[in-house]
Amino acid sequence: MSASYQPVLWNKFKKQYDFILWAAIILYLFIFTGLSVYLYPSQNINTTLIRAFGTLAIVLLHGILIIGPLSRISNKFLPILYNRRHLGVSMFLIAGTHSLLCILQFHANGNINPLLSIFTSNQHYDSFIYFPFQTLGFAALIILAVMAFTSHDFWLHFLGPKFWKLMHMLVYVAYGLIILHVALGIIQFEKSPILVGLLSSGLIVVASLHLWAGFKENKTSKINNTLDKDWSFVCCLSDIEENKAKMANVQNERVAIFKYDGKLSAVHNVCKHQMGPLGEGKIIDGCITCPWHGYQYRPEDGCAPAPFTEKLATYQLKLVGDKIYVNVSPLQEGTFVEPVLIPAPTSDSVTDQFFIGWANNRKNVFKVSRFSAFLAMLFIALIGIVLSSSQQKLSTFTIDYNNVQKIDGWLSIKPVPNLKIIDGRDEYGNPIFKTILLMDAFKFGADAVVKKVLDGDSIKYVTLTGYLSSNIKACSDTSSQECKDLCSQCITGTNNNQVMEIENGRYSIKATKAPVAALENNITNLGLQTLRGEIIDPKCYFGAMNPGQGKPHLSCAARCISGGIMPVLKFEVNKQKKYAVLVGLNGEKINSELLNYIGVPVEIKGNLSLMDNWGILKTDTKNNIHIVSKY
Amino acid sequence: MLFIYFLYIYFIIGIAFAIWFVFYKITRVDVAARGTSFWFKGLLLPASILLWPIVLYKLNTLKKQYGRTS
Repeated sequence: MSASYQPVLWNKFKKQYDFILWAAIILYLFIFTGLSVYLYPSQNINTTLIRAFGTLAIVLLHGILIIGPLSRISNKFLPILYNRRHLGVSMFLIAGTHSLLCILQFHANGNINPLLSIFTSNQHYDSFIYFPFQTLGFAALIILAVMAFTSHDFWLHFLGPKFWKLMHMLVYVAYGLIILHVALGIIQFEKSPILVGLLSSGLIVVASLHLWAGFKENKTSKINNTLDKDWSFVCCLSDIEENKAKMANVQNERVAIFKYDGKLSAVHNVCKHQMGPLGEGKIIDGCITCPWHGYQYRPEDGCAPAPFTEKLATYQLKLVGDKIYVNVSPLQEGTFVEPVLIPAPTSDSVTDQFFIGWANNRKNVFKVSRFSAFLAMLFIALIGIVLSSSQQKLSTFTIDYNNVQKIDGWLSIKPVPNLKIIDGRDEYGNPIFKTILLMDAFKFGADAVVKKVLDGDSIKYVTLTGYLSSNIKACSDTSSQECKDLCSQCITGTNNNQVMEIENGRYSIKATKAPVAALENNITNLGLQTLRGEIIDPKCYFGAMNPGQGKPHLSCAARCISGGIMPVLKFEVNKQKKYAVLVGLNGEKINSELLNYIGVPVEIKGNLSLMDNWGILKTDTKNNIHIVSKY
Repeated sequence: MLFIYFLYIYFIIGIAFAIWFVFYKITRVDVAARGTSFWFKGLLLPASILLWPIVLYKLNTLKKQYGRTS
């Protein structure tokens, strides 16, 4: 209470509560990440952690939102409500970790400030399905931060209970933003109905419990039967249990009438701490005790016992026969009112369920808590298994950053930075060439590095050190069922299309002697084509990140392409995935013109040609590119 | 970028304000904060930084209500 502040007012129950809570959190993270690593070995570990922390934060937020109405419906749930504050702060820490990982993965190490990137990388603010969902998550995080940071009684007293409560009611705004964040984000990418099913079930449960609790409270509020204009009927004496209260609505104010020790007293129903319903509390040690956090008040004058200073408004009562009436005018906070004596007092000892954290009735509560803890662990483990195993199967391409490779080939900057290598020989002994697209570290293209190494030449034979993308489970037969199952949404084929990240800028490229004469790019023209697909950044798509496509990755792709990495159109021909590097009509870079078309279905008209294993699509961005559907 | 510069300025002011509020002013606005630990005061820093305009407004309200906030 208000005597002197402590960082945390620990008691045995709170310690047990936090132990169970964090055991459940660790269990969930362990199950989700463990299963994801086992089931989706090519999934980027950062992606796995983002999903683990994100899903856990939503599960905990649902728990936080249902505790309130559950404890209004049945006081068996009061022990969970008692330490909801720690649950809320834990949820914020988990949501914050999710956000930090997202910012690092999708927005950091690019060509603009990561915070600015959240708001500008995806600019489809005029579209519903392509809406920049990360901005919604960011707004929700700010609300959760405000709530977590002010989760101390000091702020409750300093800001005032009404403002503090209002601020904390913003959790419902945050919940709405988070639902939209998920619905317009990961659900746009994942195909499993489980995610949609779980999210809608959660929403239905939260809404239903609030309606149920509200309906129950409304029934209490409707008791309003006046004797005359000053006195309002509340209930009959027998309607109130010993040491408990009846709540009534008196001129739009909630009043709690307590029956104790053969007496009746009435106070304002709202606790000064967090506006808890005192009428759902109980008389303990002669004091009204709030069911939420155990704040206490004397029933006769509404004052908290010394040294505490909280005061409640009190009300005069009248007993006519068996009927209790309350005076409609509240008295000033802390005003003493002589309790109404009950002619034939009943003093049954009541041993019902009631919980205030520090009282001696812990034994029964802990028995309940142990069972609840077991159920919570089981529930969270099941959710972890279901959510982690229902993720979409990903590309089997990956870039192994622990394996630096040295490759010899012809370095060129036209039409985009690339390395042409000899990838075996045909039956006549002629070399088969293959082109590897090159990019710099983080979210940057390799144009500057390659230009410096070429030093005015159009092509140079070099030894290049870097990280090469490779297919960790290449399909030998791309039409086989196994390959289709493996790659339902991903890249098929062998190591045909590869990209390479240069390890250390120009210091990783050394000129060397070519085994055969210098080559110019061998380009085969395929004519004018209209292609439908998605613009991706090849570095992430071919293994730097998995998944590196679709809406969840849109912002990162925009940053990579904005940073100079060549844009590539992913399209299908006869159900086979094909890739074409996008350039302007004269082979110039068009990265900045394409930023609003990344990660969404697009149709592009242009001249398609083939450079070894990569397509090159020359297009006019002003007239020949448009988003397929935008609503 | 203006938005980012605004954020930087907001948080720089917030940090300076929070240090003054939490380590100096707080004991004058709430007697229960007197003699409290460093950890308790540290817990109040994030909210003071984030909500410094509201805290400042509240301090002014208290000053008008009670004169000097002591």
